[in-house]
Amino acid sequence: MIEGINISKTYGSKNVLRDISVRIPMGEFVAVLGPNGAGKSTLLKILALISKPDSGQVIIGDQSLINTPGELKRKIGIISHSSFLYPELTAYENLQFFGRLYGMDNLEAQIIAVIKKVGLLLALNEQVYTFSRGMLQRLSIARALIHNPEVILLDEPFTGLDQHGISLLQGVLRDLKSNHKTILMVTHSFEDGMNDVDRILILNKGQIAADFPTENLLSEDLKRIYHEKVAC
Amino acid sequence: MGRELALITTIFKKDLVSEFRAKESVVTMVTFSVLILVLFSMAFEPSRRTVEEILPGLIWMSLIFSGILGLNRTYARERFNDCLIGILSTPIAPYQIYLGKAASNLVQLLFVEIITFPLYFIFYDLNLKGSLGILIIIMLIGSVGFILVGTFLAALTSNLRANEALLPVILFPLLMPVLLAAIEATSAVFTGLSLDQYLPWIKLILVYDLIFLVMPLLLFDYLMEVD
Repeated sequence: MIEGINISKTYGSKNVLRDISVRIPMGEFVAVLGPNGAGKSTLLKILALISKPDSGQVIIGDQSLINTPGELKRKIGIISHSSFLYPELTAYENLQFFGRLYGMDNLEAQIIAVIKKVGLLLALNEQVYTFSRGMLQRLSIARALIHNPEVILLDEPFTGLDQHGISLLQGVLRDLKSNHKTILMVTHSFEDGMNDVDRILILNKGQIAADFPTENLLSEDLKRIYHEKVAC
Repeated sequence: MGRELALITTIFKKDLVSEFRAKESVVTMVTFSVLILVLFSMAFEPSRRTVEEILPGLIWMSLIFSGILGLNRTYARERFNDCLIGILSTPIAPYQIYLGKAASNLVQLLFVEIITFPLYFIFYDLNLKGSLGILIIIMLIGSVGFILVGTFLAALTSNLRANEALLPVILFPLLMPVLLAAIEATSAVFTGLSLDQYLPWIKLILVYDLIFLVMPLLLFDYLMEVD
């Protein structure tokens, strides 16, 4: 479970987030939609504990950020349109680096397990600068899952992916959901990755404009609701 | 303590391996340092006495300028692919990132010193009158002071426009105490003065090192905040 309570964030005179509260129970997959500048990525960074809110707090499981920031970060994995990977290092060295930062034991076995999951075992010892965009994103997924996090946060993860990459990421998300991981995905797309989403939040001007389940929701309905909420 | 040290070492090793593979900083630093040395030796034909007077300043200035080239790369590498955000999403504390990077920068600078320092003796036909051991200690603690403050300020300027030009501008005023003390102490060793005569300079460098070891530990959290 991840929860943000009464979160506000201001950049200069602009209120990017205005007293937002979000709760995602364990095993739920939530997508956050919204126009540019709505505060989606800021919300994700705050929930990922890499940016501090001006007010409000983040709770993961039953732990608050105030008491155990290091422990909380161990429970989160982030997949972004940026890979967070070092081009000079090999795939193995990148995963080893992040695994060590998470203080993992039995790292070697876990690296092999996640690299197999994303289908990059043969490229394990290749330097990352030789990777295609799709391979980079697959390795980025492996990096985010190396420490087996409870909560997965995704920031525009489908950006720049080809059809193969999209299919693979959708498969990974389905797999994570079936393993009862808590997932929050910030996206612009009404299509990619939306099949497995349980709930949709529409963010507009730093506030939650709509929060509804996806059960029996047609793509046309979603677009209509989105345009209604964002237009107002 | 062991776990904290392991995280610092992880950053340190990653930076060194990246640099070893990319060869972006060290090669530039060594080339720049050697070029200064050669150009000065061609531009001037100083007497032995003049060499003893100006060489300590020349050595330190060339090291500082070449070191700045490396410092500018420290966080540039992290900006690529948003790697710094990746690091900050893990349980590592910002001060551990700072110490890991400072250690890596120090090793790179010492590597440059090991290559270029003997060349000064060859090009300027210099005979060291004081102790080589003490000279090495002065070079080491002076380099530590420079790297500690440089790594801290490089983080401060890394997200700013024209950061490569800005870093020297804000770094040099803060470096004045350690630079002055290091030049004076180095000069004293060159001319063979007794340790008592330049011990205050060594103490000043050590105090400076201590201040700039502790201060970034207190402030680095603020520098690493992500908007």
